[in-house]
Amino acid sequence: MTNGRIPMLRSALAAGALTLTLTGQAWAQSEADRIKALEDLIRKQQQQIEAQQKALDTMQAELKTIKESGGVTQPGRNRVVLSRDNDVELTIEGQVNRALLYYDDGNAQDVRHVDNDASSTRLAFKGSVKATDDLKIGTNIEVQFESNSTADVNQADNTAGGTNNFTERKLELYASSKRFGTLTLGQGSTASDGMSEADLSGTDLVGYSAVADSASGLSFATTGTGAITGNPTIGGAFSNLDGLSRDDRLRFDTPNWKGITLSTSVVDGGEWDLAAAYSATYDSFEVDSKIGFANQSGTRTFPETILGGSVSVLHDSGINLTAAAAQGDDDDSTRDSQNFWYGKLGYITEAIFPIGQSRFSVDYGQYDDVAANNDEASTYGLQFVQSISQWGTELYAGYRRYELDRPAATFDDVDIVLAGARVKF
Amino acid sequence: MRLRALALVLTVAAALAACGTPRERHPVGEIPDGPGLLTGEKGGVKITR
Repeated sequence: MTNGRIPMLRSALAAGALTLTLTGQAWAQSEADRIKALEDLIRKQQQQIEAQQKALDTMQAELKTIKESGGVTQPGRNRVVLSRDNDVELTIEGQVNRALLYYDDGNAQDVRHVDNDASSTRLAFKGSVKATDDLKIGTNIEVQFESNSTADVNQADNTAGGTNNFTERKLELYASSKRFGTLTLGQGSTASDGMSEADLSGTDLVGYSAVADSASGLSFATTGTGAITGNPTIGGAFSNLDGLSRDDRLRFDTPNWKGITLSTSVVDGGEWDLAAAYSATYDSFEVDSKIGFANQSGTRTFPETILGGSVSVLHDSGINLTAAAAQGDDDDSTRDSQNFWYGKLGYITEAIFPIGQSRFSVDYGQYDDVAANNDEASTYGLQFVQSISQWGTELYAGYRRYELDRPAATFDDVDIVLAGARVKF
Repeated sequence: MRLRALALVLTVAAALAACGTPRERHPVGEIPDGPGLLTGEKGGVKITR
């Protein structure tokens, strides 16, 4: 190797070293940038995941709220109306119950458009607050609005003369304790209300012990002349003596003990009543029953006292039996005891239509001395109700014959067909 | 007579109560339980928080 080549080699080596150094620095610089870029990307993705998790949590909370509220409530923060806190609740509900009533009183036949008084068109507001773990305080406002009620419609006029406006059903407040019972003040069901009406057949909206409800405004026509003026109405000749019904009262109910509840109420005007109800489920059947005693001497001369009861049994097979009876008395009156008994055989099945239960029943009732001494009124009927469960709707049809025997008078039988629908909203 | 009848029915009810499970009564003629046309499974529009 010559002396001239050594400096050239050194220069070449130095140049190579410089190149490597510069290249290494550039590579290191590029790698740091890439790592920084990756870190930024990871940070952004982490933020996106956190945002998505937050949105998911919100959606799950809203879904839970919808499920708890029964389904169609506006979710969480989008609600227009909220109660003041979690323990306060207001439920708004109601129903429309319209039907066509065909009647044949032996002299005349016609069809009326009616509101079925067995379960009238109505609107309800039910508020409650859970005051403590044991105590609930609440209010009920329930009003009905019947256009052409079956309680009022008659042969003489196709427009019923009843109140074409809201009328009261329940206007009450209550305090309810699981340990001490429920105290209720205001207009509403008395203790004995419903004592003649235990019924598990599911056909009660077109036929139950209050048999007159389907057409109580119609009058019996005199045989031969067809006259109806001054004659007894179906509502006047048939009564199921159902205690003190609804009224302005102070009512107390004991806590439910194994299905048994005892009740009493004191009503404006001096009426009072006592009742016991028992309702339970067994392995293969259900029982609902109620008995009661009512003293209405404060406001009525006859009957002053009523004792009655009813029981209904529903077997798993769908077969059901219902019976009811009551008697109204006044020892000082010239009137005979007023009484009735009623029986129903029914069947419930879901095998016919997939949309809901199909319910069938036949019934018979004897109602004596209701409008006057020695009156013997009897009735029988057929009922059918088809439930459309997801729509809150029941379609129904019923046939009933009313008969009234009265000494020194002859009335034609009255046949009716009532067909309609009750829609809960 | 009435008190005897009442006592008899209450005795029978108490005996039945020993083996039954209480169920909630739903009086005839009231707004039915269950879903409504416009509302959910429980029926009724609920305003709550």
